[in-house]
Amino acid sequence: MSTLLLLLIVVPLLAGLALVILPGWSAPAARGLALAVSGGALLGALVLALSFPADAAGALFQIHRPWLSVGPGPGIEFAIGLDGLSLSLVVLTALLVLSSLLTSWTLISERVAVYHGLILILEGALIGAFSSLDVVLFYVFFEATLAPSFFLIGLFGGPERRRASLIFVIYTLAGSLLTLLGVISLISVLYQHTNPHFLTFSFAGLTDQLSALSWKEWHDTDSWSSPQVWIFLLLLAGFAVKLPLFPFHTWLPLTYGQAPTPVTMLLAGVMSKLGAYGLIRLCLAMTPLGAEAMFPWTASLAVVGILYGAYVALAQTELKALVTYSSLSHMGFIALGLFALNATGIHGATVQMVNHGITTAALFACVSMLAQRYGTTSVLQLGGLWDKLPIWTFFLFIAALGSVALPGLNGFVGEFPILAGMFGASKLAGTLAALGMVMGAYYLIAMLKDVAFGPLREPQTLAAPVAGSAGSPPSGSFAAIPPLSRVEVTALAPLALLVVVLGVYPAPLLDRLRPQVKLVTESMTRAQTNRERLNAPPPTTPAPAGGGRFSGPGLPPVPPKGADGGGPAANDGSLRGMGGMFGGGGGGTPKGQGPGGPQRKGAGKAQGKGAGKAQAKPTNKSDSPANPAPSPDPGAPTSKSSTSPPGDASPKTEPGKAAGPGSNPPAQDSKQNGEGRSGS
Amino acid sequence: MNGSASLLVTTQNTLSALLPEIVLVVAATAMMTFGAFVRAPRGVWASLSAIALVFALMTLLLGGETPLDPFLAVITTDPFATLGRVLFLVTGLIAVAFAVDQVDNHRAPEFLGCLLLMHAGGMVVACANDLVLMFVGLELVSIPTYLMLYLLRRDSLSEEAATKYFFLSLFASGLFLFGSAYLYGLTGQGNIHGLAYMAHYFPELPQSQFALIAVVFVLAGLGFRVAAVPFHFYAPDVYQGSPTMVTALLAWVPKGVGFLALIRLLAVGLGGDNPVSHQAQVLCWVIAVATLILGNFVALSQENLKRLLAYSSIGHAGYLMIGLVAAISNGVIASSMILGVEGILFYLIAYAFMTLGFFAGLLLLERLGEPAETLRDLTGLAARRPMIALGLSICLASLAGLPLTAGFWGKFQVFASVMTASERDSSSMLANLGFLGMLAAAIGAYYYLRLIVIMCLRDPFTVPEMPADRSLENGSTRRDAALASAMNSAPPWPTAVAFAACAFLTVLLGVLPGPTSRLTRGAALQAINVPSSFAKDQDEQTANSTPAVSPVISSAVTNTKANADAK
Repeated sequence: MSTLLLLLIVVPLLAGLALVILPGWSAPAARGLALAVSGGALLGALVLALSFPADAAGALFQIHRPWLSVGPGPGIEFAIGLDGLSLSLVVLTALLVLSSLLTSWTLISERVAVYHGLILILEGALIGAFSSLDVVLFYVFFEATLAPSFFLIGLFGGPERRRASLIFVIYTLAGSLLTLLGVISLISVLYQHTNPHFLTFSFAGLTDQLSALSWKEWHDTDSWSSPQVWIFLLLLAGFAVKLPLFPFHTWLPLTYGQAPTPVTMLLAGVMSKLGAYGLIRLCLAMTPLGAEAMFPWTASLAVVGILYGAYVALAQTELKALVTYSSLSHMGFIALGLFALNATGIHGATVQMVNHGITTAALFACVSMLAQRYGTTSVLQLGGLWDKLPIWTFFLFIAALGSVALPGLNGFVGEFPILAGMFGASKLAGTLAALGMVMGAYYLIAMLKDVAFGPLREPQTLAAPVAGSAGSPPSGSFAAIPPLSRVEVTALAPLALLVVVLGVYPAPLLDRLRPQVKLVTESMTRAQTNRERLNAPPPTTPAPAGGGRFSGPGLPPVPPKGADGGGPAANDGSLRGMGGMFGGGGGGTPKGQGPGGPQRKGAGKAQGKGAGKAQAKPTNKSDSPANPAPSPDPGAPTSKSSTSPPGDASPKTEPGKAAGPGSNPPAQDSKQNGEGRSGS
Repeated sequence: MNGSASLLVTTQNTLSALLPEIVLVVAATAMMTFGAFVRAPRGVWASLSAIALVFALMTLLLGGETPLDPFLAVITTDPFATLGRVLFLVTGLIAVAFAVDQVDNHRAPEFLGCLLLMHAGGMVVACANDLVLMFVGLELVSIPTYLMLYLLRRDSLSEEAATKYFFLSLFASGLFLFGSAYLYGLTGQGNIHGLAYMAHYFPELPQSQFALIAVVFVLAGLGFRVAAVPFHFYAPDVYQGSPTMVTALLAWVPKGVGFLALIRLLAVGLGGDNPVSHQAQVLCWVIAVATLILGNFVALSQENLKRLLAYSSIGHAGYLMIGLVAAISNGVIASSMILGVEGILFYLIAYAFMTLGFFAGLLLLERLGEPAETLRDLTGLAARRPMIALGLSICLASLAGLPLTAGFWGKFQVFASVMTASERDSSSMLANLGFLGMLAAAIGAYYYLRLIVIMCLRDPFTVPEMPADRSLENGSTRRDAALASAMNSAPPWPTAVAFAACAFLTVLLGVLPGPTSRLTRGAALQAINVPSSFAKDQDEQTANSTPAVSPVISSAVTNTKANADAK
């Protein structure tokens, strides 16, 4: 299985390189190879998804190869593996790449081999980024996605493509270089402040160790210059550009507008998720206290992004521009859910990452098909297409309504918990974001009204017909506009199907994402607990803790004053919120609740058992006997030997570990409460 | 083991260890001498130079360990020296491949002889353990450069470049010599290991405040070689005025030499926890910031390709200076010192290949009759010469520091070293340096990527007119009739091979940095004098925070100590 994962990365990369570098590819051969490779990738991703146990907490299918050793210890590894979050995104990537290839089936007529090669390289790099277990490897893949997108935009885009590609890459690169600096800082912070010095580059190792770090300044977030805050900001820089978060979005309209629409599908559908993914894995999991300290700023930016995107989208007459700004606005929701910093919000955001990828890609695909027929996507010139292109309109409907977050469609499953989570964190931000949701519904439904209903409106003259679809060039007469070809239907159908399926029965996705959300929230809790402990005045250490919520066996007591600290209290509330909201969120989808329930309880129990060691790996280990993976799973022993800190169980990290049980029971209780409520 | 017998043995061993350099110098002298009498096509001279280089490489790699007393011998044969020497030999081979058809038949022996001397000088600096020998090595690099600047081409631009370089380089040599003299006067030591020992007693030395003067002047002298900011003024003009072949050498050899010397002097010689090292660090910090900002910002507005590369080269000096700042950080943190030296070494290797590769692409274009003087000349190159455009793009991506190229790991290690050093730095000066450096890298990426855009994304149909225009235009301004007749012929295979090799190595180092990194680690560990493993030393350091003095030094210093006491 792990070999399959490796193949998912390597085969598209190699096939793509072959297509780009080797001359003499005929167009059908190039298309055929690209289709075969991306189809195979989708198949492989689905095989991985099906063999993935629902409650696996750690990464499965792991491969570890040493790559570059910087200093002592394990060094940078070529380490890949999948957990629930990355698995969902890998499947999403494979699906959208295939869909994008089918959408551009007749669009690209020049340099076909280069185009398809670049798409495949992009696919390999994206899958690589999502499955990296090593931060540096992640960064390498993260930036490796830039090269193919640079050429895809620059070679195949609209009239301003060169500027667009350059701006896109420079913005992203400028941000991600700062992220690299943040990553390096994280590693060196950990290295310098552990004794014995502990050097790791793995996501799991960094997450575990950083939150348990016994360096007091690390947990102080009083000022902008405190380490955790500025490292959070450094890390955020790259992901905020990629996402994009509001003031860093200025590259987006130009890039999305100029890129060929099938490429925009991938940019908006998958590459923006790379930003959100990094945000979860690095910003939230590794610098949770920095994220907490910056909460007012980040949340405001997300809200402003939602409202700004929606407001600008209201004014758009071009369908592509409208979808672009709609995508910006909806990415704001994902950021909002993440910055809510509670399990509900983060869980909603992770779900929404998948959902947004599907709906946005479907919308852009629809736009592309329209543009291929009419050469324009202006709402002013087009209308009443229901009669003309019924199948197309049907798909547009589903995609738009999914994006609107109509209950029963996939957007609802993600955006509702996001809003709920934000309400838990800040009423004002939640309210404003809900306003953005209403605006989103307004402009998308108004767009549907204009484009689909009313009398048929078509442009007076065909403005530059883009490579007449299905081989029949429209010669100025609109009767010649062909209906959706079989290829185009194939491109859209799976997306539309998923919009409905994930809306009605999201449980499999929710279940696979939940353990990852829990890892993040656990890391937050651990960091907060650790801060409490380190801020405790030393003399009180021997005194037994009365009944402190966070006092576990063998844990230094929490001083009473800690109770009024915003950290633990807020967190407790948020965790309770998680239980409640899942009940609420699932309530809209009664079918999904049934099978989801017991599994979730199982997860909770496993967690309870493993809670003594609140680290990723031990939890994983304690899960696996209860829930044996169908795969032979050679990854588990490997992971144990290579990513678990070798012999670093120094006395300093013990309290951090022991903090686990103390912090977990409230979460446990609240969750069960929530389920009880939802059941009643 | 003391007295004259030991001195004799050391001299013998030194000579045998210096055999590769001697081979090169003898070959160069022979070529330059016989070149006056023997007429032979340039291919023969190039082959001879290549043979000399390969022979030197074999002597270096196959020659056994020669034990050298670090406090007596003028050279050292630690892995750091070996790495530097091998690097110069390899780039020497690449340079010979460039030179194959860049030079007339009758000037070939002189030119190639200079080339060999220059690389021999680089090797001498890499292994120098003595201030005087280091100076000799630096001059061995500079003096042939003056000749080469003037040998290939004799027009006013080239004359201006040669004159400028000559005077400023002489000035820089003087500064370096002045600084070295102060160091010697202060410590009574010309030996760098001896200096390293004495550096721990700086506060106790009489007139120790003069150490700062020494550091300032040494930095100024070497700053000229590496084109760091206050000493960078010559670079754009000289790069622009020189023939591409010489520009390539100027961009690489002095920079490599300068940084090897800087590591030896500042990180090894004056390293450790002493006030001088702190002052040197502040100086380097200022130079690094100025270099990064100026190099990268000014490069943005350049239209001439060689001027652009000059500023790019200045920018890269800035990144390397970041590594140097880490390498001379307080001395208590051995890890950041080692990471700094390691980062500089890796960066230098990457820089050598990516820069030489880029110039090789330009040379090939010249040979194909499409010389690229300005950025516009590269328009649509991908449509005309896809393979050259690919190679150039790889080198540019590496210069920009994109992942999966050598330049990325160079930058990564340099920034890793400075961030590691910043953890114990109360003033957050080093963290700011890292931040500024990353911003500079982002700016730098712009002009490299703009070149890629020009080459690869310009409309292909405007392309056919361009080369015709250019070749006409250039035909009129062609300097050398002999060269003009050779234009439009197939490019020489050695240059093509060198180009391919540079591009390939750039990618290989990016994909598989491990083996090279092990070499640079070993070199850095030995150079910084950390006795055993990295981690173990760290523990010792943090435990009793004594400055790093290896057992080798402490056991062999009685002689030096007596000197110091006498003072």
